[in-house]
Amino acid sequence: MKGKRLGLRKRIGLKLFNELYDGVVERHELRTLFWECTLRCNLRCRHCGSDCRTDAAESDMPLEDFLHVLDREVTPHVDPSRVLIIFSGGEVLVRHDLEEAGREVTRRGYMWGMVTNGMGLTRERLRSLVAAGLRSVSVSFDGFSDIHNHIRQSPLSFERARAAVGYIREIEDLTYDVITCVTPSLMPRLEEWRDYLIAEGITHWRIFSIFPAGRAKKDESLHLNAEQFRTLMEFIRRTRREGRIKLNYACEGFLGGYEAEVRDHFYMCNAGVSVASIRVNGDISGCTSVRGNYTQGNIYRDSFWDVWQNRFEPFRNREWTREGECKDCRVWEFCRGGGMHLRDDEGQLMYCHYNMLK
Amino acid sequence: MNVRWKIALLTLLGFSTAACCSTKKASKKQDKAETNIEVEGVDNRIMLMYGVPMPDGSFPTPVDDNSPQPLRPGAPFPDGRRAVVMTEERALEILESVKAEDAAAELIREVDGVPFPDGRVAIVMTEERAAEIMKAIEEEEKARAEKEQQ
Repeated sequence: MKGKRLGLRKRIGLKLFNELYDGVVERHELRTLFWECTLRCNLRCRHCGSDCRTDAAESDMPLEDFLHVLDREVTPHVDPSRVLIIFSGGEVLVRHDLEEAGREVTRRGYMWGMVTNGMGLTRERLRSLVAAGLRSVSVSFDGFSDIHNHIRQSPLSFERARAAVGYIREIEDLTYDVITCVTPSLMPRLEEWRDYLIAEGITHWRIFSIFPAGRAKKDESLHLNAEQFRTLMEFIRRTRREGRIKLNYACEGFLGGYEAEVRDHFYMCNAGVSVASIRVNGDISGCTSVRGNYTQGNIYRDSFWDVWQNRFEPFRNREWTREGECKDCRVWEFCRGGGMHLRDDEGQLMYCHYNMLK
Repeated sequence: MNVRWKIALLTLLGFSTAACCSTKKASKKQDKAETNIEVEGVDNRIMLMYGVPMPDGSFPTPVDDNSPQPLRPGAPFPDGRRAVVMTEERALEILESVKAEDAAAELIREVDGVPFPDGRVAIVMTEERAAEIMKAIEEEEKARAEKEQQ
C-alpha cells in the first residue's frame, strides 16, 4: 500500500505542479460559478452538509437577481463559453423556473450543469432541461437500495435515482456522472457496487467520503475510519487501473502517495481561486461547501466582480492555515492546509485526509 | 524554470493529465519562442465535490424560444489558439526545440565570449541582439584601453 509516502517522482511532480498552481492563484480566472438557487429539498439526507429541509428558512433567490449579477458583474469580464455555471441547492429540481434559468444563462453563452438527487427527475423534465441548454448533470447514488434509502431517509430514493440515471443515459452526449458518498456500510460491498454501476451502463463515477459538517457531523456511523479510508483509496486506485469505469475521488484533501492515482489531477482547492459561489441569501464565497464565516461579500451590498478581484485573500493566500496540526506538517507545501470547506468557524482543520492514511 | 519547462517535465514524469489543468497561459510569455504549448482541447479542470463534470464541447445547446442565440457560442480562446491535447510526444518536441535554442545560444556565446545575463535558458538570438552585444564589447574594450592609457 502506498499510504502517506511520497516517492521521488511524485514529489518532483508535486513541486512543479505547485509552482504552476501559484500562477493559477495569481490569475484567479473565474471558471466555475455556483448558484445556490434554493435550500429547499425533497429529501432530508443524514449526511447533508447544508442541513437542507423541505421548508428551508431561507427563500429561493429570484432568478432576476442572479441574472442581474451575471449581466452587470460577470459577463463583461469573462468569456462566457469558458465559465461553467452550476445550479446547486438544496435540490435544484424543486424550482419550477429551472428551465427558464437555464435558457437565460445559455442565451448569454454560458455552459450550465446541475447536481440532483433524482427524486424529481422524469424523462420529460430532463428533456425540457436539455432543451434549455443543460450540458452536464451529476446524480447522487450512494449505494444499494438499503444503504441509499437509509442515508436519504426515503424508501423511494434509490429507485428514483436509478431511474434518473437511466433517463440521463438516454440523452446522447449529455455529460454526466454519478456521485457516491461512501459510508462504512458500503465498504464491504464496494466491488459489488462498482460492478452494479458498470452493469447499469454507467461510465463516469465520483466518490467522496464524509467530512464533519452539517448533519453528518453528529452521525459517527457515516464516518470512515483510517483503515476503511485507506482501503477506499486502494479500491479507487485498482478500479482506475482496470479501466472499466472512469472513477475519480472528489477534490477534497491531499492524499500523499495516492496523489494523481485516485483522481485525474493533483490535489488543489480552487475555492476562491477559480471557483466562486453566490449563495441563496446573496453571499459571495468560494465553494458552496465552505462555511458561512468565510463569506467575502454579498451581491445585494457589493459588486460581485470587485469582490472577486479584490477580496478572497484567505482563499488565495493560505499561509494562515499553517498553524495547529498543520504548523509543522512536512507536506503543507503541497496541501496548503486542505480544502477550505474543511476549516471550522475558527479556522481550525476539522479533518485531515493525509493523516487518515496511516 | 519557465512554465513550459515545468509542463514538459510534468508530462515526462507521467503527470500530463494533472498538468493540463493549469497550463492555460503557458504560451503567453513565449513571444520569442518558436513553439507554443497548447493544451486545452480537453478541459481538465478539477472535479469539484459538489460540482458537475465539465461538459463535452461538442454537445449542442438548443434554445427552444425565439430569444437570441448564445452571444458567443464556442468562442475561441482570447488569443485565437486552437486547442490541442498535451502529449508526451509533444512535450519531447518542445524539449528538443528548447535544447536546440540553448545550443544555438551557447554557440554564439562561445564565439563572442559574451556572458549571458542571468536566467536566460532559451532565448532566441537575433541579429539585433548580436549587434547589441558586439557594440557592448567594443565599448567595454574601448573603456579598458582608455583606462590602460591613463
